[in-house]
Amino acid sequence: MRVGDMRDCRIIMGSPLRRYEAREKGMQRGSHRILLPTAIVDGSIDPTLVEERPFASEPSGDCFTMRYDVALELAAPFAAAFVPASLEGLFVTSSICVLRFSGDPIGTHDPGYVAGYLCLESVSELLRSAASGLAMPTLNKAQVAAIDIPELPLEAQRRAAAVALAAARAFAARRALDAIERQAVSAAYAEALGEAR
Amino acid sequence: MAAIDLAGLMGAAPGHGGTWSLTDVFAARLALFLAYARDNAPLLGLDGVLGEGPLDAADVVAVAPRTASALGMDGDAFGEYASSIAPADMARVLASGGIEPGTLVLTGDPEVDSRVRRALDLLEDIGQDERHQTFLPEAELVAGVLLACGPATGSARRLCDPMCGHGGLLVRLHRTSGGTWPKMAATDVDAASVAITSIRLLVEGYRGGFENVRQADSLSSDDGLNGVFDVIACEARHAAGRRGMRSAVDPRFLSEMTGRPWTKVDVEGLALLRVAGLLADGGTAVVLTTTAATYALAQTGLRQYLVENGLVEACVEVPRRLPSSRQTGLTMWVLSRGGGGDKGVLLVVLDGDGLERERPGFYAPGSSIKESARWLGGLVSSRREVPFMSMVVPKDVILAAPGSPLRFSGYAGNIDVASRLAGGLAADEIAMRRRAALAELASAEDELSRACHEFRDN
Repeated sequence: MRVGDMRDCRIIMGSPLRRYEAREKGMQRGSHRILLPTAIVDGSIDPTLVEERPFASEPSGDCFTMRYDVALELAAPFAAAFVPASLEGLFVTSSICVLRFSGDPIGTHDPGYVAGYLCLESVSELLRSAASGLAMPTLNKAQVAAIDIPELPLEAQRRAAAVALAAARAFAARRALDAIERQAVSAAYAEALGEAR
Repeated sequence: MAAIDLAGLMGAAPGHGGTWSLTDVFAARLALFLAYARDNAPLLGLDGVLGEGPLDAADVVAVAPRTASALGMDGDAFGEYASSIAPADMARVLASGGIEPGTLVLTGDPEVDSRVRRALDLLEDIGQDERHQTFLPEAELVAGVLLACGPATGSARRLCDPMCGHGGLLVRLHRTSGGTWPKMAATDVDAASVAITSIRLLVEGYRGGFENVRQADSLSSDDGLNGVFDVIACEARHAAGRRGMRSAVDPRFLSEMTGRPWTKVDVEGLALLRVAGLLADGGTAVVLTTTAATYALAQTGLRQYLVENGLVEACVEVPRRLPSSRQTGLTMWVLSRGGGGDKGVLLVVLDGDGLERERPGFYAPGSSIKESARWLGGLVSSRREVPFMSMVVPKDVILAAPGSPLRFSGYAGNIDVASRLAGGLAADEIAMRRRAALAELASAEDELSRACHEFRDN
């Protein structure tokens, strides 16, 4: 079913950060954590890449993530992620849209299933061919609405979503382990070079 | 004929003069100058020069150079500038009621009176002028470095911009130093530029005389600059289009260019040489060049000459990140005669990891540019080495390096990796984090395995 035809799903396009960001001293009225495409990695949002920025005015309307949203990058490589409860309230920038599903907690579509589907490599290639622009292929709202998500019984969606979410968690754990092991190598060299002196 | 609403122009938000055509802005600028001169005639010693009646467009060509000459400015340059403005454009400006005597009180405090601030903005607004843009953020950095590194101001000190363009650097220096430079010299080959520089300095409150603010080719041997200077600031790209410099530079550099057309690289390089030649003992110069052009291989001999003679104190690469800047990447050359150039050259790159750690707010928008300029001035004057951002490279190392580059990246191999690594996490902390990461990975793998089994079993 096309995203635009899902009755339990709303497409919310991100807002330009420059409209609200405090760019000069004295303009700041508050701050918000913002969701940039760089923070969407391998099917999840990396909390360490979520930035806090000063805001000059308070955004109105649906500018922030809610739990169970699906965040989708609008430009290549069209990264997507499920938004967990711990990452509610991120300001959604204009290079991202969120798919917001109604139902408590899940209606007829499982957001985890949709996020996992959008993360499939073949889907990413499909989105690239559907997007406009050669230098930077970008999706507009109509093109997001035209994305076709295969219909499955809710139970099957849940099982596929469980695999996708568990895989995203494992990817994140591996990245964290990689980072700490790089630090271990640096520390070993620091010690060796220090002794050599 | 539609009259230009000069009062409306004055009421526009600063920096929005771009909605007006360049000819309108030129005409308005000259009209403002005359209005300012008339409003302040007694103070400026102009009684009787401008008369009382309304100005006529045809009069301006005669009145502008006469007024300029009475102020000690280059009257010929003003005459040429006034003649370059079409009478119809001048007439449209003069048709505005906004320049009647007494209606523009430009003597007021710009901090208090917004009309005065806007008038100054208009005089400064050259955003539409491709040839003579002044890059205010970069000018702020130049002022910061010069005030930190240059000799102290004083009655004997002389300040010069031999390629002044619209005088943006001089105005910024005058303002930043609180008007403490008693004498300024400026030249440009373009008459309009000389006139605009003079106007802006006058409106800024400079009263040191204009005998050395002249239309001239400062890169020729007959430049009329009368000697050497304690402080020089300039943008080398304003040297474009000059040929006079051929007679004023060392023939060995010209020989590198024989048989091929001169490029921007050549002109900027030779401008650097000329500035070095204008420096007095103990003097300091800051020259802005485009980064890409200045490091072309053809300039190897030039760089070696400057380094060999201990003339280069520092080279600072400024990427195109400054708020409001339209310029491509610039390099700020700090030259000195009798300064620290003999001990080596400080190479700085205002980008990347080093800068982010040392001064994260350097490129933050707003008023922070003044603080950034002060910070940069301190960095250059102290010749401080910051990992991945600045280092002092000895003269002999530069001269021995192929191409003798004067940019940080050319000597990145000299970075002390061991000292950089030393700041990392302690081994115990790493071991603890690794155990936690392994446990999380094991848990995630278990969950994935269970999810896969469950998926298959159903």
